[in-house]
Amino acid sequence: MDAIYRITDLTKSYPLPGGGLLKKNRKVFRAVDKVSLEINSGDTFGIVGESGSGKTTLARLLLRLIEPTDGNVYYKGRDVFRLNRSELKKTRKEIQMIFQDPYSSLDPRKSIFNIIAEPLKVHKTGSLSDIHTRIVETLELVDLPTSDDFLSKTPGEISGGQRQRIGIARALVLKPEFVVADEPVSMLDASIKAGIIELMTQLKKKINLTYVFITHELALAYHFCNRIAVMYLGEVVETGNIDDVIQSPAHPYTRLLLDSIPPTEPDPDWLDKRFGKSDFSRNAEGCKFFVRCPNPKDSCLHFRPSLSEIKRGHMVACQLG
Amino acid sequence: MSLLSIENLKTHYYTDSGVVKALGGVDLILEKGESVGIAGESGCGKSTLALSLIRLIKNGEIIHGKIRLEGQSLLELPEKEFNRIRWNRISMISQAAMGGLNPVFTIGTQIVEGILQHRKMKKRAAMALARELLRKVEIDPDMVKNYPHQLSGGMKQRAMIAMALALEPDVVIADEPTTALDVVIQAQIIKMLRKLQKEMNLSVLFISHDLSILAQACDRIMIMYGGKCMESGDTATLFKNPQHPYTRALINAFPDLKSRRDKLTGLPGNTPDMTNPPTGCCFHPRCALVKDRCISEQPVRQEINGDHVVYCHFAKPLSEEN
Repeated sequence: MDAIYRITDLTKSYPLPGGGLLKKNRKVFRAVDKVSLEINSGDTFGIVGESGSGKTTLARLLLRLIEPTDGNVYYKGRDVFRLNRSELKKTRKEIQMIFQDPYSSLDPRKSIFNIIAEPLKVHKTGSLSDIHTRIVETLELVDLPTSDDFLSKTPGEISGGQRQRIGIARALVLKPEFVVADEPVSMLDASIKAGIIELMTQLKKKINLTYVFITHELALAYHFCNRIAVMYLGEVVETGNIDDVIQSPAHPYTRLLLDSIPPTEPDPDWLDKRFGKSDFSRNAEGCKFFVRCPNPKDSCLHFRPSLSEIKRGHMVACQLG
Repeated sequence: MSLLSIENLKTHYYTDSGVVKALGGVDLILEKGESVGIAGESGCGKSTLALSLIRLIKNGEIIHGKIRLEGQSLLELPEKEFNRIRWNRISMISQAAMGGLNPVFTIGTQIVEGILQHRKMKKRAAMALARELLRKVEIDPDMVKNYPHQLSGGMKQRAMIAMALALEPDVVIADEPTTALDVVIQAQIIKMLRKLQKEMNLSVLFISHDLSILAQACDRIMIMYGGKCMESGDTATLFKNPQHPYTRALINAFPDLKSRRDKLTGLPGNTPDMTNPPTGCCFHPRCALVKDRCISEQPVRQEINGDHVVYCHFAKPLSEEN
């Protein structure tokens, strides 16, 4: 399979307060820390982690919504950060994003029609009647009504599930090949959530999409994704095929995440499990997970492991794994 | 006599777009030392139920029903007398992330203030109690000196729990106490709550949209939809033998880690508009098994077995099919 995205040593750091007048000794916070990944065409690639793990920053880097501190992102072999304005605009037609919050990511004063038409106008894709046809096609794709009455509604007049379908329609209207979905269902009720995931699964089959699916819900990723990367404090600590990672997790952090998910039926043993320490202080030199690891070795304090392959395609950054 | 009993409770809100019939007649019993889960999606009335219990309904009122705490009827009490019940005998853990803590006072001050409202004791003794409470919720007692913004999300939630337990209330309402927390922290908090509940013999009403949390944290569960109870029963039975189509749909909508399903099953449609709730069974517009009778006739309470109760016309025939 060919990689649609190749990410090498990608780093994004933000300066921390302090460091004196000349900011020479300023400390930095690495939101994304030397991440290397390959995303293949046709993947539904899950990026999983707790808040602050850097998953959203990584997604924003993929679309070049922010500039990296270091490292490269290649989209179809071309360095995304070296594209000039017109090349970038052309590429952006192919790479789109679905946002987390269907309440604040849609302009409340715009009609449904205008919300979905905006990307088409930005990319000047034809006459008003072309735009109308395209919008109707896209709405049919996401199982929404296509009547003029519906098109003239504003986001406030429709339900949360419908709003997220509008968010998906807006991302798909330019017929992209690659879609980053940043926690697209985390604000939705369970019954609505499952419907949106079902829709995204169908869409992938219908129009050959490659997804990056960012979520904090490992169980959801398990059912939706074929490959996954688990992030901890800006680093990818484990990555591989979904079944390998979920069924034989090799990093203690992945195991902690899996153990913490309440089973979907009563399980008296679950409450007896240890759910780790909630210490988020960083170990500057060695393994970042050291302070929370259930059985670290002395060497973990000083040695920071990098990803190594334990099975074809299954990589883990842990000395103990 | 049950510790807390709710009978046919109806609460309405008055809004510009009409009367929201948030609770349409809910019955519930909570025994001493028991943890009861209230499950449902947004708009099902679970938070209205909580707010009705502590009589803090804004822009609306309780229009019908009875709430009894150890036999004493609470809804008729004058506000001044009810003040002695609220927080003292019925307390609430709300979402810390949603502004449950005052940002300009230290954690200690806020806990002490709650205690001194209801107990005659020296401020120093109250502060000592506050420190003891923080130890109970497994955070550093010195945190009494900290302001909320200096605490992480998980610690804030623990501080909220400490506040709610300060007066050793009879009933603790936990309204989505782990929403907006990361999964590891969530697991720690559920585990701690369950431990405290057993140690202190607390009676807890645990409100959540997440069925899997309730499955671990509660002895019994009530499933709500459209301001009404759809099904209730002890936790194990409800998961083993769900009778209501909504309960089954909800259980199926949750992804699990046991085996990979080809697809998650969503429910078509949306949660009902409570200014104009559906006729008959309020779930009928989304029910896959809907019959004419469901549209015209409201289902009545049916006992399946002991305290396993369901409100569905076709509950029994369905179970025979399985």
